[in-house]
Amino acid sequence: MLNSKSDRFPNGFGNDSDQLGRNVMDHHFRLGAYGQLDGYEDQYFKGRRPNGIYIPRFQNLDASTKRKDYIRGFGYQGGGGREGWSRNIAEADFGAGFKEAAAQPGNWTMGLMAFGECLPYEDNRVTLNESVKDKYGQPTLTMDVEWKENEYNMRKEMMSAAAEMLDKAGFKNVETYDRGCNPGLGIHEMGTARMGRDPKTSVLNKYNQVHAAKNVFVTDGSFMTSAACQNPSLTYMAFTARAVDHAVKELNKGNL
Amino acid sequence: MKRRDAIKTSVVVMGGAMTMGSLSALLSGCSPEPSLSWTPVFFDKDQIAIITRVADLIIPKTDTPGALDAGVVEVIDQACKDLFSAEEQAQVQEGMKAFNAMSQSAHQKNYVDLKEEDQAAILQKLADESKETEGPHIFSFMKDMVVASFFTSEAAAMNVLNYDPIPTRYEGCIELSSVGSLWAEGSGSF
Ligand SMILES: Cc1cc2nc3c(=O)[nH]c(=O)nc-3n(C[C@H](O)[C@H](O)[C@H](O)COP(=O)(O)OP(=O)(O)OC[C@H]3O[C@@H](n4cnc5c(N)ncnc54)[C@H](O)[C@@H]3O)c2cc1C
Repeated sequence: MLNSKSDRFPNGFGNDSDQLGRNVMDHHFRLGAYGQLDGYEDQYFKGRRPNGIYIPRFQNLDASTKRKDYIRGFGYQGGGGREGWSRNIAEADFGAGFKEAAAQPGNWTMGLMAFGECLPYEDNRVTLNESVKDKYGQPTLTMDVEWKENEYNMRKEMMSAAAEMLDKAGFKNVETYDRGCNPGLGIHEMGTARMGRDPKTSVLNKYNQVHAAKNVFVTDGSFMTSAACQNPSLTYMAFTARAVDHAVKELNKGNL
Repeated sequence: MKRRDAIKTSVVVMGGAMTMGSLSALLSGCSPEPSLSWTPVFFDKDQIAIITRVADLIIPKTDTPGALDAGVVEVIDQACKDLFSAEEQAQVQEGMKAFNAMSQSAHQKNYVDLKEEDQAAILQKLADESKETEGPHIFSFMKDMVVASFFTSEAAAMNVLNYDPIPTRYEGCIELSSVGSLWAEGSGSF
């Protein structure tokens, strides 16, 4: 759309609001905590599981869960299992004893990794770079996106709350971790053509139609106005189904 | 680097999948020839001789195959060339000097010419040293490489661990004694 310029849309197709390319969001994650659980040494598991555990957002839902350092919030994905051969073996650093011990399951452990919401910021944006073209002669995309104060404040609790839960649940040797995270690592990039009621401040209407060109529907993740903290695909699909339903009805009525 | 930290950074927790990172994923794709007739691509012949001794000491052949049966030296040599940055490669090259330096100062001989017990003693010294070291250390590096390439090898999967070709249905609670050891993919996976 940014690349489709005309006399009617000099700043890119449907871009009367100057919101096209803005409000890029992603989820920030790669931090949390893990711990060990004593006991159950004689038990193990077998086979494949389709998923892990999920802890939905529990912050900023109402007055009693209101946080003072940040708005919105995060959820946890995680799971439990037994340590394998990559763990430290107390008995020996190497040799036959090490080999034998490493082939046995270690402690039961549980890990929690937080996925946090990134707020929409107008200056987190993508723009076309007309001076650097790709091999087809098309302008390349410049991405200028960063986490800001709300995300960084949230990240503190994304670690500490995980540790607190594991601790309260009776886990030992609970440790927090933060492997660092840049926008894009979440591979949940979204935003850049947000929907809204007011054509002056949004690109799409509530049926994913371009405000100024109702026969154009934008149904990928770019319509998102906020990122929430959940994996996004199902939401995209639901909105797409809804947009298609609307399109068919409007077509049948002769409105499109 | 402390071994614990190395492992932490190589483990990814996401959506319930906790597996070793790219290293063992890449290694698990290799099925090295345990033959001696191969040409090293990263280490020189003397270094290969040292690594061969070290790999054998870390995971010896017992009543089951050891590191050398699994061909880990070839894997390590190839991995050092293909998987590591120039900076990491330089650290490995520098770290490798420790073996002969320590054996020369204690026994006036090269590492490979020592008796096995003296080789083991030096390796233990390096192991102890690695625990006191922040940042990379040749023992941690060699151990991680030997362990990861051994336990992801066919030899280990078939003879040391439990190989289940079609894992399918999940049972969350079984007696460990009914399987006896880690699953073959058990790097620490959930
Ligand atoms: C490795 C990975 C794991 C993920 N895991 C999850 C998960 O577990 N859960 C979850 O909810 N989300 C997950 N996501 C995110 C999710 O997959 C994406 O957010 C989602 O698929 C994006 O959908 P989309 O329709 O916006 O874009 P896409 O699915 O990327 O579709 C864009 C389409 O546009 C086409 N296209 C591009 N340019 C043009 C052009 N000029 N002309 C015509 N067509 C064009 C592309 O070929 C593509 O088919 C994951 C993403 C990745 C990369």
